[in-house]
Amino acid sequence: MPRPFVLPDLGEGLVEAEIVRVLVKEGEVVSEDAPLLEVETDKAQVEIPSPMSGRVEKIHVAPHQTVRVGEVLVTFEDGGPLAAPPIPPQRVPASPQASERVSASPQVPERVSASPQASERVSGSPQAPQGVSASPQPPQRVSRPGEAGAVLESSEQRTTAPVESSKAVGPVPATPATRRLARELGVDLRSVRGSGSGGRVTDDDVRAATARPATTDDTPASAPTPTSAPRVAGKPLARVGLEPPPLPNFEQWGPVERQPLSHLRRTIAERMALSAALIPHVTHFDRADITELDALIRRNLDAARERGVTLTLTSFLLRAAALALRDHPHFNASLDPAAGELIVKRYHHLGVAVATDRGLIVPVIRDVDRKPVLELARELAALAQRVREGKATLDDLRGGTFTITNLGALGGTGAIPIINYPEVAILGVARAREEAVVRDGQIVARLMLPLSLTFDHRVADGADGARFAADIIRRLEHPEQLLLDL
Amino acid sequence: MVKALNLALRQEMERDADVLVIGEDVGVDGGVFRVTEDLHRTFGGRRVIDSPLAEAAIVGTSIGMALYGLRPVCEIQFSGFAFQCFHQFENHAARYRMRTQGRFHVPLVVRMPFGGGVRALEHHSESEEQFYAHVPGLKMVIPSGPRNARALLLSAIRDPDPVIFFEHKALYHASREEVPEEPETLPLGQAQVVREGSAITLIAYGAMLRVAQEAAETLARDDRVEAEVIDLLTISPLDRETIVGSVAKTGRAVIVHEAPRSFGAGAEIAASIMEGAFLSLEAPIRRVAAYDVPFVGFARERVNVPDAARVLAAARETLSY
Repeated sequence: MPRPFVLPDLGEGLVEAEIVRVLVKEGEVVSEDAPLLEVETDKAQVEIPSPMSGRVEKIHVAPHQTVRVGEVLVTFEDGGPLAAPPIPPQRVPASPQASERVSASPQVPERVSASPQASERVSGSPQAPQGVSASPQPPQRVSRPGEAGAVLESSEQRTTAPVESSKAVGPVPATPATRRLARELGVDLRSVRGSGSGGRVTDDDVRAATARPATTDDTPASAPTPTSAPRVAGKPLARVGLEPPPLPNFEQWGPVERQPLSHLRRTIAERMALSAALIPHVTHFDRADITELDALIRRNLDAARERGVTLTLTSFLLRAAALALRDHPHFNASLDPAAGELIVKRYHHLGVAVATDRGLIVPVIRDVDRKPVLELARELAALAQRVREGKATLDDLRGGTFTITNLGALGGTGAIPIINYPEVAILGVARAREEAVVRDGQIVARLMLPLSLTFDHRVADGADGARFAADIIRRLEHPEQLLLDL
Repeated sequence: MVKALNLALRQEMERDADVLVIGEDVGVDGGVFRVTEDLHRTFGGRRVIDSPLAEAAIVGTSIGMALYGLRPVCEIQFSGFAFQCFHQFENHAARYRMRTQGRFHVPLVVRMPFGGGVRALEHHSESEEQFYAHVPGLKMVIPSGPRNARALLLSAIRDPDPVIFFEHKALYHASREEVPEEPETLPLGQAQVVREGSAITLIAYGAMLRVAQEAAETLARDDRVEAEVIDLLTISPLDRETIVGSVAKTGRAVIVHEAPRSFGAGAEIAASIMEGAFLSLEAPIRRVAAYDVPFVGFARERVNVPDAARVLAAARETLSY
């Protein structure tokens, strides 16, 4: 049933108008409120919108023609508002948002703007996350507002992206913070099933989807592993060298429970096994008299606190170790057995083992040898807090050249640390205790700090280790040398 | 807060002979809220000028005096009547520096009481800060208590450019605080973190600061959640650095203001957070504001103006998003 559309009353007592332009063609499908034609009255040029959605059957007017109010302008083929205008299949754009706009007035050149939704989608596929050394990721659907323009520079992406976007229904629901985490961990959000409300991908979903940290690329990536659900089977650890013999059936001696390892636990287990299996460890023990250093710390606690910093022994240890590493570069290195070369690093980024309720994590402080102790203490506190809150970024955890593990808070008289592969050495620190020490024939009470330096015997020998440890101890016993860079 | 403002005016007039006060009833009567009390007696009619009931003339005259080199501090009796002088603000005060390529500037302060919650009549309860904040060339300052009101007013008077200075009526007499005798200033354009927290950032100003703080206290007590509270103090120029820095840390933000929600300061703050801390966001930014209606009659104003319960509800939704 055809529906005529007449020139409506344009108000202000006007009775006629001149047609300036017709903005649609016969046979065209228009949606409600899309511009139909432009008319000029005595007072102004006015755009007349379509009163309904439907197909234009006939246009009764032409430009320069004067029409009176009530005259028929256009006849619509089908009466009644259409729920959705029929769209030719070849014009179906990628996104539902885009479809409305493009189909509304495809024939009117000045009206068809590249739909912003569509163009964003094209440019939305970002580069592979920077610095992630895992196997190259496919372009992700992570949207990057503010960087959309920059991505366009790759013509390859421009041509391939639309094909891809036609498959995507829309962006994967996830908060911006989760998107950042996914990018940092190299996780493709589309491959993750969201467990949050409304199917949202959560931080935990993303972490569960990381097979393993990107720094170890020697083992195959694996499928997402649930960490907490009961009765879920664990995943075999990556094997290092020896084949472990089969375990006996423990149930023959009593009830047992099988608990899958958390991701962090698995990572620690694999890295420790790797290190212990590959590296011939040797540990050198010694003790440092830190009576003076301790007094120095106590004297300056308040002054440091006024600057918002809690002075800790670890920050002095960091500085002492970094300065000693400058003199013993072989301990600030990695062995490349394949090349038969020692890779000596000209930077001193020191890791500090931090115990969290999830397990051991080693955040890294950059350029320790170039920073004053106060700055080290400040950075270490911030870093440790980020780690404990689970907010550390991948960059916080990578690039270390040497590690310090301080178990002093938990007591002990000494421990043999395992090297943080692929570093060459690690310094273990136990609790400082007042001990009876003989000085100049007199027994005096001194505060003694037990140290255990574990190093890779392939790289250095016992004498080297002893000299390196002695250089650390000398600086701890004469804290002014830390100040003087001696 | 009235006494703190009076102290600021008095000390600044003693310090600088160019500072003068002009407005309706500011002289003999000491101002409708008594902010200028006794100034007339101390400094005389040439420096404390009772003007006719003509807002445009008060500001227009003051712009002239400011261009001449004086430092006028105008009082508009209620911010609801300041639209009469908007032409003077937008077309002149805000533009002189640019218009004259920096040769002239307008060291002008315009004080106005604003805000609801005191059961006042129509045109006596509105919050119009967004109009001024939107005008390039104007600074928009809103203190939240006596001490920062005094310090900010000193800075506003010493500022070389026009400053719109909003004083919340509900704080005039309800807000009490020790104010040091020695003059102290606060930099314009700098927000303050008045409570540190890590879980969520509450951003407020003026009388809404106390509302936000109350919500933060409840969150700490009942939800064991530490909210960071930011007192904007200056609406424009906006201290984006402090806001973005806080939200980058907390990942969540609720903005509280008494002006109607749409196109208010909250929208600009939210956009700034999106631009500066997008990838830290754990939840959509929420705004708690008055409804998009002309300020309602005093019988209903408690419903219209945000209270701690509304802030708390928004904060909890944001935290559990």
